[in-house]
Amino acid sequence: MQPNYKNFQPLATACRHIARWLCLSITVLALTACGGGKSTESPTTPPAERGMKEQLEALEKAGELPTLDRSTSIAGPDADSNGIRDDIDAYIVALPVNEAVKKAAVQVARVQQKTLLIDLNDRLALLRLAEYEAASTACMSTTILAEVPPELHSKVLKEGHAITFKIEAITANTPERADRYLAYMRALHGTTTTYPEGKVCED
Amino acid sequence: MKAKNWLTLLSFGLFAAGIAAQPKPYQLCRGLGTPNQQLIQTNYRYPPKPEQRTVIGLNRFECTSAYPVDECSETKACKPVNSMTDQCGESDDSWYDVWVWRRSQLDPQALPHYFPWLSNPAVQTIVQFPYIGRVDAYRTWPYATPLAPEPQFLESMDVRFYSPFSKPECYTMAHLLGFFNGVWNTRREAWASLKTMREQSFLGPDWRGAPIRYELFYNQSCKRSANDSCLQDVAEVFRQRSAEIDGLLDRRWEYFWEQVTGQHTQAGSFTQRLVARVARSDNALANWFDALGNAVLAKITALSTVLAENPPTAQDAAQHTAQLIRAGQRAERAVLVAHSQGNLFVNAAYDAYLAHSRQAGTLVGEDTGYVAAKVVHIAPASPTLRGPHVLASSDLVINGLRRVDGTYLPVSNATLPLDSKDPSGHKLLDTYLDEARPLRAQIRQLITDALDAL
Repeated sequence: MQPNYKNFQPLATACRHIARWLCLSITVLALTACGGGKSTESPTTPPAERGMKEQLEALEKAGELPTLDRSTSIAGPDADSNGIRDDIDAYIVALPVNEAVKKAAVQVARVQQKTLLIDLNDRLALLRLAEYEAASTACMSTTILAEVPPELHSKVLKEGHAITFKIEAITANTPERADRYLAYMRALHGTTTTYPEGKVCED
Repeated sequence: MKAKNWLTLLSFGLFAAGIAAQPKPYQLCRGLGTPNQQLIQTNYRYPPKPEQRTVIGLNRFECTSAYPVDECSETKACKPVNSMTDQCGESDDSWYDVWVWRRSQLDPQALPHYFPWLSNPAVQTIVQFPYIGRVDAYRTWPYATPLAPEPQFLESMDVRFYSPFSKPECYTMAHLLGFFNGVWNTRREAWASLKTMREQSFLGPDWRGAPIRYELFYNQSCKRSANDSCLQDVAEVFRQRSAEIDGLLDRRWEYFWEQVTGQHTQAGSFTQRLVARVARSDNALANWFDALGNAVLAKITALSTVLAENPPTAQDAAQHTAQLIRAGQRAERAVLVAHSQGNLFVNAAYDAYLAHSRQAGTLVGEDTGYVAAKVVHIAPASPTLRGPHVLASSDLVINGLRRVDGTYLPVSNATLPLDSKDPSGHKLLDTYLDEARPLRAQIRQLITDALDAL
């Protein structure tokens, strides 16, 4: 790992004003005093500042951030062939919501996955998918608001939107998938889609 | 037989008075003799005066004849010729019991009979109207000779009935709320906005008894090339900036999407968790996200300026216009709500719809001053407006546009401090429709005013 020199800019500035050897001695002494002088890594990098990447990966491993497939494949792994990437399946299973909301999230995820794989030249399929997209939004809202008192609707509806936004985000989570999703949205420019009434959740 | 056909008389009387409305508001009551071209199916415009569209009050039938038993009566029973037949006799002692209709009126307590209109099942035609009438029953001997005796009064009663009389034709009303999103919206963000407006706490699924259909008029183009997408430019900002943190987020685009949808500021977002847990004494990650947010805002403002200077044309809005015309033909009155750059697209679609409406009006010889649509502008990134607008003083995107050309954008008309939920002050959900802030009620008022005005 490379030492992070940015954090030492004030000290470096001071060094311009005193003898180089003296400055170096002070720096070594200071770091020895603070760190015990035992580290085999760069003595200029405190432990907390070593590797944002490592910290991020640790958070993902611990489940504090989602562990997602980062491959270049657009579709990604779908071992159970349910139309949803396995990592997103796992994310939904771990959501702290009831089973009905998880089921609505599955519907959202399935539609999101299709947005990456659809033939953008197939206009009819595109418009149909837009309708499924609307239905999945409506399903999530209807499900999460079930038995919620009216005064809490806005708050809970936002929670439903947050779940949907997260699934949207983790589905288009690589540059390749993001490009596909951007192309899908561009293909729908100028279209109209009606917000559905009646039965909106899949069986 | 001297008994009159009371129904004919009643129908004539009612028609002469003009038919009345009932619990649901009617949008068109077409009178006899209306040219076919003026059918709602082809015209999608409506009689311009509210009293012609929604007739309020009860129409009454009243028998004012000096000879009510002769002229306002209906035979209800008679003495048959013999026990083998129902045929009424015509001898001296043949009696006829008649109902004399003193008066009748539409029954305000009862609902009409509706039938779904084939062109749009959300709209219904009224096939029967409910009435309540006051009846006096008499026994008469119309064939008695040499003179018929005076009718014998039997009783008075109230009678409720439905009349199949259905001229003029009346339809119930239906509305369309069309949402024109800003070009920086993802699909899910646009849907969330529409759903929020459809919530009962905002507008709900109907307005004054008439259903509202909610429709997303989706926009995504910055008009620079055939397959141009405004969000592509924002993606490019993320792509370039991620190099500044050693490619940490190169393949973690979920953070990009949170930036786009504004979720990055929300508690529990991936971004918030990441910034809170990946520690560095110089707050490198938090600073990077701040810088990314500023860069995205700058990019959005720059592209908005370009788009405002080269707004969408009728051709660009052709699909949206066609959909508006179809909605009109289904008898829907549209309130078009636009946010951000969606205002540029709504202007183009509305102008084309208005032109089409005027042309159609001219063809059928109707007034051409009415179009079945109103526009409500939210945070308009457009130089011109087609209706009332709401623009927050703290909207950094539109303020940014104003700095480029301070003369041509609508002025802010709502003082609102910035909130940490939305550092741009421009988001529809987190600023303008945020239930904790006052603009939401203001916007709702503009929409309901528009619904009432149509």
